[in-house]
Amino acid sequence: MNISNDFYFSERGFLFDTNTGLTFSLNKSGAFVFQQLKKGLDAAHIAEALVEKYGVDEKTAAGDVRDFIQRLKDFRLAAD
Amino acid sequence: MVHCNVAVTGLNAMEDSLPGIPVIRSLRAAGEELTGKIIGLTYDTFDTGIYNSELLDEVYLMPYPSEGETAILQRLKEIVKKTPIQVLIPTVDAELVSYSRLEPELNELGIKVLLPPEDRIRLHQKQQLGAFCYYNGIKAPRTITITDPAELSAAAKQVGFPFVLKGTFHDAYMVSSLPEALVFYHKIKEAWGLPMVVQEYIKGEEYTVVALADGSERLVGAVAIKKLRVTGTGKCWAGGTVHNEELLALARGIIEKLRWVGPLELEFIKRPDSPGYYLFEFNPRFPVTVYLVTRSGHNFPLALVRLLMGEKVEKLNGYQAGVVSTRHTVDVIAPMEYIESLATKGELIFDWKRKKEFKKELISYE
Repeated sequence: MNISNDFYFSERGFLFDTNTGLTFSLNKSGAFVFQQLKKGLDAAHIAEALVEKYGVDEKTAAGDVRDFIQRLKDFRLAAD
Repeated sequence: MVHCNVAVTGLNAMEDSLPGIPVIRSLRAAGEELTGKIIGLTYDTFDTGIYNSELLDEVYLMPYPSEGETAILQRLKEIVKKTPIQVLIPTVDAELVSYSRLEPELNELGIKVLLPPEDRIRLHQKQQLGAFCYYNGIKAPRTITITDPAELSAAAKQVGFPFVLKGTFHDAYMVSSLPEALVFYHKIKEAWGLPMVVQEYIKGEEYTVVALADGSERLVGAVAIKKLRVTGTGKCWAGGTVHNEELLALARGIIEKLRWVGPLELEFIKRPDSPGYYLFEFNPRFPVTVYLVTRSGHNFPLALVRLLMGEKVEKLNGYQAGVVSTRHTVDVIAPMEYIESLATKGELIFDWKRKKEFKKELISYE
């Protein structure tokens, strides 16, 4: 998973794509997932971290991470 | 460092803001790199930017472009007798052809301008842009030129509602019905005359590319901006610089095809449901977003002055993406003597002592 380097990102979840100029507001868990992706963690490890941090079940966490990554790909903020 | 007096037009910043003040702010941002006077050339005593004594050294009233080139030249002859002008940056669409035609006479007065020939300037006129795009394979909204309100109905059938009704030089209104189109037809006709164009409305994200080409049609630089806040008439009041190589490459190709000389702005729309960008407008001058461009690292107005003063200007690369600006209005308090000077003598010379006194007066007033 490659995360684009063309953005401004704050820990509060504000994201400005410096390629398209689109802005995004991520909620707390979204910002957390994005930070983990930036660190280079894969989807499985991020799902585990979500379970630990937010107490959600593994299936929900894995699904949410997968959906989130797909949205990033849709906006060309991430690529395989 | 370059030393010269620079005259700038287009100092009115009402609903449809002109780019003169952002150009001057860019020149002021050059600091000691540019020494000399900044001279405002204006059309009306109450043009909104002219009483800003922090930005301007002198202001002169000019005849309207509609009064003809002889009147413009005559007025400039009077002005340069008082204050020589080495560089003139016109920023109003309606005056560009006149300044381009007058270039030899301006040179005789010691004034330099960086403009393409008349035929290339006229390409920006909305009725010509569609043909230019068609013949050069550039994606553009469908555009139909009309000269009679009876043509609105047929044009609407071709492009569908809503569409954008545009004047040749200024004004653009999105219309959703024939009665609404008729109202704006007459409004535009009264302000800007005929013809006007019916342009297909494309919904999407809007971008603009601001660029400068030198006298040899060499691109000095280009900066892409995402419009973040757009008014009902399509004016950008908030924008952020972006690095979008697809867009910049497209813009570079268009500028090459235009064989452009001087400043320009290309405006694009990106549809969410299809690839590529649609060119929907082309402005043959600096846009109001030029100060944002300056703050991203490319001071095009300064580069233009340096080019005209015979300096070598290297290609500008590597501007900063993610620089955001918002435009807002401020009240400028003007002493009555300033207004009187401009109204009665057609000129206003800002005196630095008076500036200081006036600042004190303002502080005590506030």
